[in-house]
Amino acid sequence: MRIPHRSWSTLGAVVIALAGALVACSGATEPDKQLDSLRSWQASVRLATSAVHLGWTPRRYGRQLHDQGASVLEESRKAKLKDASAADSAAIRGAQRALEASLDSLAAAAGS
Amino acid sequence: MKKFGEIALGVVTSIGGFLEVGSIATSAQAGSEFGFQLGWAVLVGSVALMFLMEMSGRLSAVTTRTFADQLRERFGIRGFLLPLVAVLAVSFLVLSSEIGGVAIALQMATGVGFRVWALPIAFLGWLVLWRGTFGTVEKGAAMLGLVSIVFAIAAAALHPRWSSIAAGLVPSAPAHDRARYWYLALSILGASISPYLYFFYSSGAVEDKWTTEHLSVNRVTASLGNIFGGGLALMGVVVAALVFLPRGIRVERYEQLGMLLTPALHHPGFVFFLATLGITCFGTTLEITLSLAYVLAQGLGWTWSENLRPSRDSRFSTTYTITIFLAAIPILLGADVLKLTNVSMVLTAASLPLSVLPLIVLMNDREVMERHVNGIAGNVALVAIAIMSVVLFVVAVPLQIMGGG
Repeated sequence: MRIPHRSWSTLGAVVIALAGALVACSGATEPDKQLDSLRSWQASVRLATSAVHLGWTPRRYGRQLHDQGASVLEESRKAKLKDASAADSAAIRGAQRALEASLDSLAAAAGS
Repeated sequence: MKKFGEIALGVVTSIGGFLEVGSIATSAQAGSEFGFQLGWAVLVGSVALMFLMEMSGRLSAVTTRTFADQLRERFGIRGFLLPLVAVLAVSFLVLSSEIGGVAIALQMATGVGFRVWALPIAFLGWLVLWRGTFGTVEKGAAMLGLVSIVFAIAAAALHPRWSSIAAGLVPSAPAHDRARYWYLALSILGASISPYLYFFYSSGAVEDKWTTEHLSVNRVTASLGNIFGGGLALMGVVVAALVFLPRGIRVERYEQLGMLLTPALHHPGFVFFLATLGITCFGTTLEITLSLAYVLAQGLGWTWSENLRPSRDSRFSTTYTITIFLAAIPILLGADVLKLTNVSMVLTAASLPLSVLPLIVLMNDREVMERHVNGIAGNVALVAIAIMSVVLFVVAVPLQIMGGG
């Protein structure tokens, strides 16, 4: 069956409209994403520290989480953010310091 | 009594084989970011898979031939080529992710990096396929996969509010991160409705020599197996919503999931999570590898059966040998398993129309299905799944770009 040319144009328009709608509804900026990621890793590292202390997870697992958290921190420090205001930058630096402190606690618990 | 035994075994293997790297990851991501709100996506995925498996099983029981065989015969080699390439490509990515899932479980257990485990896992998988039979692969792995019931135990131990979980089964708009919400919904659907599942199920029906006498076994197995299996995936959402969401943990790496069950079950929670991840991903590795070899062999008219000695179906056994080792390469090279999983789930969802749309034609063809063609309910469900699959195809790439980060 021959598919009329107009059907493909309509399909193309639908794809573009959907993509446009999705672009419109994606709200998070780069600084927001980085801040979320740092805070999420700080929470992960804190849970891992408690888990190692309580004997729920082995220390070698704590060391793995520590290494991954440290690599996230390193990447965050290297990243150059576009559209970051002074307030964003200050919040990110604060989150980096908080993650670093949590990583130190996990290192002490897991024997890194 | 024999039929009851077949049904029980079928249901148990479906439950044990439901969870895998994609459903574990996407359930945990959904729960940690949106609480119970994406429960509906798990429900829709499980129900859609239930219909697709029932139909592909019925097709094989009635015709004593597989879905891939029927596709080639009905649509010719040209019409079959596109679904063949799509299923092979996305299933290959999912296979790599599954090998990655086993490797991550071993890394968390031993502390030895996941890349080291890629080739040993591929070798062990190949050995099981080479030496084993279809029963070993299907039932052995899925029986061990019953360890995944630990998700339900952990969810119960956390005392969730069941009315809130039920509310999540009704689709609702998210309050934040809309692109991410729909991206995760798409990933969950891709993880639930993987084409390899119904191609494998259809091949299994032929391996087990199903006839029309097995139609009731097929119906009950596909229904109960997927409902209970989907229930376990939903419990994954529940546990992540109760453990990760209140603490502000977003799943960015697979290794974070090691703590998912520990607040509920303490040290056994860690051990059972690793066992669930390792066993279910290994079982799925075997199933996908076989499924890829089945589809290729059936499409090209080769001799195939996991129950034959490898020397009797050398092209089939060579295919699975090459496939499993090739799929280990991305993991050996250090691919990010969670990202690979998410991308492969989205592409799986995008590939669905290529296998779902031809199924509508086959299931309504009286020359193929005789008096077992789809009824109104079956057709309504299949058309709804087909429409959903076309929508998923259209939105997959924009969502990957907008919500995948």
